[in-house]
Amino acid sequence: MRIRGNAGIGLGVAMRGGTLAVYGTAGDRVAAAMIGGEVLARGDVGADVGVGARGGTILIGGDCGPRLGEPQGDLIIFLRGKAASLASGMIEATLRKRDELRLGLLLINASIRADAKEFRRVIPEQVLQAERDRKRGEVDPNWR
Amino acid sequence: MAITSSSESLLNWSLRLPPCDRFVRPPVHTTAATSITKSSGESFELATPFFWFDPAWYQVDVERCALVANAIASCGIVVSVLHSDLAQIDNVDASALTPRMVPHRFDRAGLIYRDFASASFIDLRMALSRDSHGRFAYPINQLLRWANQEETQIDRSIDAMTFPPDWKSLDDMVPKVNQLRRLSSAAVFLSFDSFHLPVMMPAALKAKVDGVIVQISGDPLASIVEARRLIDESENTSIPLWIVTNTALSPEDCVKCFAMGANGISVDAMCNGFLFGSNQLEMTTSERAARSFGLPKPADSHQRIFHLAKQMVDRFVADICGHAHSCGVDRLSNLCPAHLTRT
Repeated sequence: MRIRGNAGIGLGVAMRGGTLAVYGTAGDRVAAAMIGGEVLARGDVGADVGVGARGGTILIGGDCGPRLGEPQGDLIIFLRGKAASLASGMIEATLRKRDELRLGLLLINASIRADAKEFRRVIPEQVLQAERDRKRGEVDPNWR
Repeated sequence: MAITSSSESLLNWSLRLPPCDRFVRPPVHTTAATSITKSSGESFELATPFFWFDPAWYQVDVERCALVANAIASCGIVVSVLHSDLAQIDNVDASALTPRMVPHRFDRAGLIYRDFASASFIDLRMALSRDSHGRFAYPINQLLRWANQEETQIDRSIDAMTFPPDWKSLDDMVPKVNQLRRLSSAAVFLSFDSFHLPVMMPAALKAKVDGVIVQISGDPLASIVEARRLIDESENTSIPLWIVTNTALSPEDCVKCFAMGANGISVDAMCNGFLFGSNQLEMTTSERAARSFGLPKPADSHQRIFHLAKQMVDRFVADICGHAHSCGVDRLSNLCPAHLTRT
């Protein structure tokens, strides 16, 4: 679903699948309680993005309001601009190769012209720690 | 008859006896049937004014859930259930349950579009339910049931939302109720905690919901009276008031609640007890023996569960109708405060 304009409060709340792309800005609590699917906002978004989400992907092309994140599952947030603040336990991280690839496909799918390298990931600290502690080998090389 | 203290109790009131100085003809029969009139003017009949508000489906295997849900609904009790509560059973369709209520939680947990089909009620749930530790959270097994995934032995909970994330304020209730009406022809009820009665009731009346459900901790009398007062002061005095209590009410207490202004009462205590029963124990000795030899379960064991449920509900409804009959009314909805007297 593509929305040409701005979205109000609660864009994509509790969505279970599919892709929701907004070419303008979005209000507070984008993708709260999300279970699956992808939410893309090309402009700025409000506060409490992804709160209580249990899965899915959020892409923010602009800046973001306070308390970004605080998912309760495997939510991935890609952010291009600045976040007013991150929710407790969330951290910014650089993209891995696989994330760049995934993000590139998302951008093409939503017809958004942007370079995946401009984005950063926002993920829970323990997820980043787990990524760093993961043992690498021949079948799981560290460039993936 | 005015009740002013919030510490008023049902114990202080009793059913008024018939007069001893003149003849009063008793009604031929007292029925528990009640009718619900939606704000659109359309009305439908319910066999009983009772409902099962918050069954703990996830604590019981799906086969038992489906059996009990069908058995209780067939007795005319409104059952609150989602399709995903009965997940993993291919031949069970929650749409077939009548009357059925769809719990629409803050974060729409477990809800799918199919839930709206053939539902009699949508419960826009503003009251939070707690997990076994008292947190406002969903037990992990409840979430796994909704996601149709394998259940686990891990005791973990996932926090629930505390306000609809797509609402800015309670003013957003009006478009939400309208949206639900477009999605389904069901009556839209709003449920909330009695603690929030002064805030939620005006919002519910403004949104023109088809009914309200008030969750009450402790003695329900004061909350019923307060809720009824707020309704009677509004334009829509016919809006149904359903109550959920955290304790089991006796048939006499139910009649007192109806007299004080309640139109529907939850029977969670009674139905939960039945839910946690055992398919195995409800079989006869020969059926259990046959099952232990690996023979398929006889079809009539299902009928026995239906029979037990019907027996339990019929006895409860008959006791309530009996007490109401002693007050000289032919319908529970005709009970009024004048049928009670302070002791």
